Amino acid sequence: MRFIAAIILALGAALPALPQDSDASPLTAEQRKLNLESLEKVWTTVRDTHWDPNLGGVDWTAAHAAALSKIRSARTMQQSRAAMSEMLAKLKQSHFAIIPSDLYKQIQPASKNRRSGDKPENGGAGPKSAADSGTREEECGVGIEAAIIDGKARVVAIEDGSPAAHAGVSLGWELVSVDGYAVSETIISLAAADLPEREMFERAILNQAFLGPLDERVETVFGDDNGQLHHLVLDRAEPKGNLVQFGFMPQERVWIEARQLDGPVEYIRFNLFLDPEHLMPAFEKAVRDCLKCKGFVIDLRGNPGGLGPMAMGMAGWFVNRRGRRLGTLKARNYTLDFDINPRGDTFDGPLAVLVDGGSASTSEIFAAGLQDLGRARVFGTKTAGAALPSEFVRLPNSDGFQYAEATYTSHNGQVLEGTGVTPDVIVTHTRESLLSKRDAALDAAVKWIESK
Amino acid sequence: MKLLALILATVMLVSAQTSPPAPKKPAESSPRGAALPDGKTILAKSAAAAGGVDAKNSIKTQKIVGKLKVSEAGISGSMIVYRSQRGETYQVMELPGAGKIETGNNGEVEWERSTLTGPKVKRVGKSPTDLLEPDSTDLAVADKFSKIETAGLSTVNGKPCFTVHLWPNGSAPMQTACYDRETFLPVQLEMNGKVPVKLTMGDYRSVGASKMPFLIETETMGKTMRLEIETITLNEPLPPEATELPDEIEKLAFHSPVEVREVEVDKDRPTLRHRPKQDAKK
Repeated sequence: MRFIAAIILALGAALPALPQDSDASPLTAEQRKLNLESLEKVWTTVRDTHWDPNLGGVDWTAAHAAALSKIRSARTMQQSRAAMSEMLAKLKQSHFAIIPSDLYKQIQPASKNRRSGDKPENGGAGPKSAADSGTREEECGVGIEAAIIDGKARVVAIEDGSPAAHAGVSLGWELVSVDGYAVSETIISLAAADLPEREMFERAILNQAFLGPLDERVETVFGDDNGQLHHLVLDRAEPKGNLVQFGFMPQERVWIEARQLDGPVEYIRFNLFLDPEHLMPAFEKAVRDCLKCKGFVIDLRGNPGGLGPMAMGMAGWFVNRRGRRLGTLKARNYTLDFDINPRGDTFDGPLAVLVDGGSASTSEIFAAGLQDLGRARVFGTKTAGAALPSEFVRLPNSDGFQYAEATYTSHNGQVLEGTGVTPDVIVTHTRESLLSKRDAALDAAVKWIESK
Repeated sequence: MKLLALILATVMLVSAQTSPPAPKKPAESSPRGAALPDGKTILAKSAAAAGGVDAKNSIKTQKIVGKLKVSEAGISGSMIVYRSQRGETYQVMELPGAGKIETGNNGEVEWERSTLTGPKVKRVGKSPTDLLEPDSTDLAVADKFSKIETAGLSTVNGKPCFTVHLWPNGSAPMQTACYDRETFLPVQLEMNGKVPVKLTMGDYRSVGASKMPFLIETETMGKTMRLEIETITLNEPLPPEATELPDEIEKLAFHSPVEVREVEVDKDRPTLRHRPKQDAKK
């Protein structure tokens, strides 16, 4: 996923052990000039648009001077980007990132899938917004989600029918290595890094490890519940979901799944708040199919966010009174309420929302708003605390630049950035629950719904 | 994420109610000692420059088709606006990757519906024509304003223009408009409400007997949305969308158990009028 790649690259300075941009060739004079122009754009954008004119006390002029010195002496794009990333890191806030232009190039579908008329703009990938079925060769995975449980990387979800499922990988197994890379080293690197959104990055990095071309296999080592090692060579599979892009946001795969659990309880999970043209009708169908159900579970674990207004639209299926809002966005010169628009038909029964440290941004806006309104009970673990409304623009050197220009407070006035959403019921994965093939948070949510 | 909100805000700007603006640069009050025309004179000349009353009155309906672009954010799409002389409106924007955003006012219900945020009834009138209002973007009709004051001379797009403060009738706060010094056509409108918005108009062309802008740039929330109008067609029948409510809007307005009273659509706007169940249309 490009989002994952972007945050990894954005963390380059903080996580030296992680994969780095491969663009290490010497800079041309033109590139140097464009990098300097890009620095000015990044620096002035933050100076002029950040919701806090004082930037939280950061000496932005000094930050500029330091970055300028490094960029002037940078010999590679990698070094130049690192200097800008370091400058942004001084803000100690989420949603500020430099996105290498390579990512925009990669996100173009292969030429065979490219449609006529899709001409890039600004020398890079142009806006191409419709869902696309083209598969990028680097995005195929094995159908595993991993997370760090009690200090070890463990399998927390396995996609039905995936290569991992076929190979017999089981929930709760420890992920020991991927393509010879010891996962424990990554965990140590992460532990050493000062990361406010640790769990989000942990998940991103662990899951990125499996991605690659469809025709290349992944050599993995897992440890089972008895400590026995399983050396498995896994195929990769086509990624699920639609490939979508909006504006200069990097392209992403978006999927949604909905199924009825016993109760009946409707379970809905989607990986991003993007692709509204497909996601919103699918969400609507899932709600309408279960308006008489006992309850709903919306699983936002691992969902890093997307388009904020979608949270308002989805909440409208569960809030039957007007005048309610999820929260408020506050920029330097304006405020914007995230009003909920109740639908004509709403589900008024128990609603559970599942979150974890991988839930960020719009996921936090949705969960916190409904929690504050007393409309949903939140289960899981504390969210990432990365909830700043942000923009994506292109820089003169063709890199992307993500910047936040507003902060966000939930309905009850809680600033979500750096704080996150604390669930009503804290439920964590445990080795034992996973090995017994149970999803502890989902179980707790369903149990609560059944008790209502 | 907020770009869509930007678009939504832009959609709503036509009827936005704003607080008094604070122009960044005070207009030049008296260039080289020359007396400036008073506000009513400027508006009268503007109305004449746009084609005059007869031309305006001959326009029963408009269909505006254009392309939208927020270049800095890589967003583009299409826009169609239908508007009747009576005040019925229907506007639809389609933004690949974000879906469709519709707004409408059939005289009885003012509404909005978007792929992202869902349907919303903004106001319900007491009668089928209660909500019909003159075009709020028409800056040449002096009768719309309780007070008009020339504030000075400014420059827009490199050309001098008369800055005029306009106080709309009713409770709506002051707007600041700028009228080209030579043509008297409006070239800019600033509304500094909760979300400040600045419109810059250009590329005036003749449509029938009237002059209309074919380029409108909307600056709000740090972004500029450029609307390049491709065609303006006059006096075609309005499509059903402009006069008939979508089913889900109809349901929300008149048949939904959802509470619609005691709710302020916006702090600066009138409270939503409740239509009692017994008055329901169907």
